[in-house]
Amino acid sequence: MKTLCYKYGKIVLLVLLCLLALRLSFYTESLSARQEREKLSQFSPGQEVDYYWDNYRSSLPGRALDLSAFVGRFRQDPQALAAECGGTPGIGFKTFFLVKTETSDFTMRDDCLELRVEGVKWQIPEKVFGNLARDASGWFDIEHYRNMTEYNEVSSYLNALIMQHIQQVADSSFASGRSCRVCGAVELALDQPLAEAVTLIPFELEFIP
Amino acid sequence: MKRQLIRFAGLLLGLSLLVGGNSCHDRQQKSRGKVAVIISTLNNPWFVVLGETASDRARELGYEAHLFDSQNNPFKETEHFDNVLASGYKAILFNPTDASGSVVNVLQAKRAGVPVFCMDREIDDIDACTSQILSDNYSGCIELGKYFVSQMKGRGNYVEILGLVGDNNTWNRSKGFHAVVDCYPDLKMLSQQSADFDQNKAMEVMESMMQAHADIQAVFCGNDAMAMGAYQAVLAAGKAGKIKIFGFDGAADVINGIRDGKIDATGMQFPRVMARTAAEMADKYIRGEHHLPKKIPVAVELVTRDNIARYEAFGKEGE
Repeated sequence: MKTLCYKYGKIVLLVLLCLLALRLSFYTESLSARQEREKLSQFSPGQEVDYYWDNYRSSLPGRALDLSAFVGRFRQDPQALAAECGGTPGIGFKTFFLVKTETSDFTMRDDCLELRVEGVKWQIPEKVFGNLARDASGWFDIEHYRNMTEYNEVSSYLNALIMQHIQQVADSSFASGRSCRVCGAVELALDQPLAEAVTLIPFELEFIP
Repeated sequence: MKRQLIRFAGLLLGLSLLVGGNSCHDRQQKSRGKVAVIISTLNNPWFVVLGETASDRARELGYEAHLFDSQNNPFKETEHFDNVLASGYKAILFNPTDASGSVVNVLQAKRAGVPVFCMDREIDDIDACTSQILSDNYSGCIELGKYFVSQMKGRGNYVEILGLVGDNNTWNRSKGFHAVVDCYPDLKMLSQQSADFDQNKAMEVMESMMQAHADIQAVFCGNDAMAMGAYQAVLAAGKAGKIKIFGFDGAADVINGIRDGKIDATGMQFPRVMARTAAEMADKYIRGEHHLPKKIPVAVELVTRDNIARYEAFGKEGE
């Protein structure tokens, strides 16, 4: 009996080892991830932006830092904060961060919505330019685009969507809003103190009655 | 006598082998191989800085570096690639003449197993180059566009002088600028023409634009050489100070021009940073590190009269 167990045990072990070797010799990824990657490769920059906006925007607050905590940590040790949760595309002098907050201290100005948190004016502009939203979202990989022109087109579409979102929310619920909830991106130079006013590009904006 | 002769010849042979071996060893220690630096044109000081910095950094890293001038001619560029690939170079630090036209040369190098590192100008194929180190022209021109709007107070007539039509930088700069400026309907573009990044052509283009439109208040130029050409035309027409001039590059003439109040602003690119990074990445690749980022954007900074003290030609002080 003991010999039989020993014999079959060896065979089972050998089979398991063979299966492991076979598993390691193949690259595998989940079917959904592969299907998504293939689908995205067929998309134009505009379609790709729509796809991420519709399917992944709600997950951004989960990655964002609370704004009050962010300010405290930035004032204390910006380098450590950047290393932990900031990003810089390529070689640059500014670092982007994802932040979120909810405050009742806000005002609508001529060209921006201004939130006051921790003594800093966080300004959500009426017009959104540049690559901050694209870079901070983490959705778009520079190596998937044929050239910088295509990669920059992503920013144009994304910025247009964000401007549309701000306009819609402001028009529909600003008047009745007692507090403002926002999740968005900011860009800061680590070697300079936090400015009096900082531009915040929102991915999600909501006025709560 | 015969035996002595044989001994002497043997001694001579041994000595020569020893000396030859040593000199070969010295050569190996002195140079780690040849690196080619192929630049679109050396007729523009900005590209001279790019090419010379790349060559100098490659030499510092122990390579024999040779600089080639394509004279903005794709055929000349192809000739350089043919020669370089036939001559045992270990890497190419490359500034292309044309985003799509240069792809074939880079693919030829890739097939020959020679890594190519693009500097400043990109090619329209993400997989052909080992890596591309490029200015973030679009973001740079967005900052320039914002400053342009603030200086024009959101209204007025302007013209635009474009660079080479086949170069992606031309369009990335123009699109970045227009992403901002086109949001202001009271800013009207009267004319948009190409001057191929060339100072003399820009002077001619600006002259003809001023003849066609008497009420130009500003000109946005796709590089600093063209900004200087536009300035010469504006000066000759007696309109210096009346037409605002905006460039892009951070070249010596324009940095001095901003200091002297001739030019309003420029986007500072960092050719030395791009060139050094390209040489260092080539060195890493040659040493066996093959997992390198395919594309590295380098930030561009806005230079105006307010912050000119922090800058010098082609970069920052103490860079």
